[in-house]
Amino acid sequence: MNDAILEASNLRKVFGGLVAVDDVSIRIERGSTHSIIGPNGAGKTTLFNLLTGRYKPTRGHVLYKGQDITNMPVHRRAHLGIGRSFQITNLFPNLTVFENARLAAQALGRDSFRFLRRADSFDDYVTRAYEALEITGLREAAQMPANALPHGGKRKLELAMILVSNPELLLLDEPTAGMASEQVPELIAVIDRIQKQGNKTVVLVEHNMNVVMNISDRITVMHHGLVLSEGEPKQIAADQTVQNVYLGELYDLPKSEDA
Amino acid sequence: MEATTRNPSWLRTNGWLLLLLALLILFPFIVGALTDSSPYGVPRGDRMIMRGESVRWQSVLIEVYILAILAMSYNLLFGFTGVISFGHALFFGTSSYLFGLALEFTDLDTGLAIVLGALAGILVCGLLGLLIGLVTLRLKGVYFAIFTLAVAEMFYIFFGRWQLTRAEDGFAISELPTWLDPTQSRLNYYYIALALVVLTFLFIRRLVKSPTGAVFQAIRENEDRAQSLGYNTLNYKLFSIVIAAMLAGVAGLLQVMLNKKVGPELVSVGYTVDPLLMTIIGGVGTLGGPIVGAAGLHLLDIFFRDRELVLGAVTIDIANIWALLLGVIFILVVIVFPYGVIGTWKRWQARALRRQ
Repeated sequence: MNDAILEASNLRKVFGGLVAVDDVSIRIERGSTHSIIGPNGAGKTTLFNLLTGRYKPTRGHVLYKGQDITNMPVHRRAHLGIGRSFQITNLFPNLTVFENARLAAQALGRDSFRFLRRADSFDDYVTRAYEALEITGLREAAQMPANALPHGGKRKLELAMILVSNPELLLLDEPTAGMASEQVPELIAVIDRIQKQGNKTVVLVEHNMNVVMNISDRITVMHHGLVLSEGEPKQIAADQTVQNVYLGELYDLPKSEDA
Repeated sequence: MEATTRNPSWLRTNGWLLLLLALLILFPFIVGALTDSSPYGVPRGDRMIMRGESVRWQSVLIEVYILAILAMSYNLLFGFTGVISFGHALFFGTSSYLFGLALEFTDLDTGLAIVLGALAGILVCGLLGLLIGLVTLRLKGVYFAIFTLAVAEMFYIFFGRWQLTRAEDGFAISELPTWLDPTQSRLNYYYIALALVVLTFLFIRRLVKSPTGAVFQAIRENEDRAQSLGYNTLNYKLFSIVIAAMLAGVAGLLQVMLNKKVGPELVSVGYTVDPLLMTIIGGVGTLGGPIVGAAGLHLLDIFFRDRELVLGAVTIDIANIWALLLGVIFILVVIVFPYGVIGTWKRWQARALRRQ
């Protein structure tokens, strides 16, 4: 049972007077797909940013494979094997699709301060970039600027960059955000493939209940900065308090004008 | 290796550049032939007096070269790394002061003073860049820009009050070896400046296409993402500012030898604004943009500076309205070429290619 790849204890994050995350503890089992869900403002994104290192917690600790990484900068986490995806359009928009993927490969090597050789003469990175583009079906678009890709293509490039850096722990921030519903299954299939390929651990922040129920081994439900409930998808689906939270939000919506 | 990432033909991509270079090498002689003047100046006794159209145009182009190096260095930081500095004049002026101090205020032999002064100027620029970067690069965007402006203005005020260097009057450089002195051998100096522009261009082109340059551009495009891929972006930004500072220092050295005068105006905000405007007009984040911008703006400046506009009975001295005119030109260029001259042209080219 003691095989947590990522473990957070008593995390608390305060912005000014607002307690965004209040005393949250979460264990991510190695090799699992773990989702964090909750209504708007529940604190999922803040929790996500605490786990990725973008925010430093006001209190509490984050352990990765038993090592305290609470205050470790983002770029060093990447070298430990923690990768993250962003909500859509977080690419290098004016660089080519190939260059986006190549930069992901180069990031984990040791050649980034070699400034007198052409970048495309480092064959290893070039090959790995093209492989990932091949797998995600972007080979033809390699020389296009990333921002010229259609929406689905950008999503695929995001995944290609993850494939290239091959992280052990993958943190995905609302991977289906803004996608047309018919594209969602395709994306889920790719996530599933990446996970099974190397027994990777996936942590998912997601809005879409259907997605979460389908691919998760475990689900954590957040509400008002606290963990409301945690369990397997079936348990969560049957949980009365969880249903109340989601239904409650729905009923609240028409009243709040600023939502 | 992919054929698409390799240059299809070296000559095809570099042909125009080589042609331009050949033209610039021959330029003093071409002007000389056209205006019937000697590119070497006019002999008087055993000295050469710098007179004639060819010599005059050489100094115009030398000024263009200096501004081009300064703008290329600015573009490395602003256009390729995405760091906006408002204090570039600091590096330009600091190296000129150190060079002047070494020549005029030490007992060193002239040759040694030139070498040591130039080296010290460039190194101190790099060090200053590193220090400013360490203190401020954690700040983002406009905060970094404001800090650099503050530091540059601080130095401007300091040099304007420093009694040793004769405060705001500055001091003249009395002695340079004949082969280097632009008031005696302008043609030599022209080729030195041209060589430095070419070297700077080649160096920046290589740097930008290297792994390090790729990270610079990644930072410009999306710093968060670069970090999450595993790049320690602070180190790359420091590297970029150090290189840019040293190149600006080189431009400062050329300027101080050309005018043989050191003064606080070399640290003034003008030497920050000029490269900024030149980079924007030529094309931010393009290799040739800063050179085109420097040539365009400086040549326009020379052309309009002493001209009079006669409208019927009214005569307008363009020198008086030059700043206004420059503003109008700037607005027009930005409207017609939203990505700068080179940047917009490249986009047109890319669009035409995609249509085929």
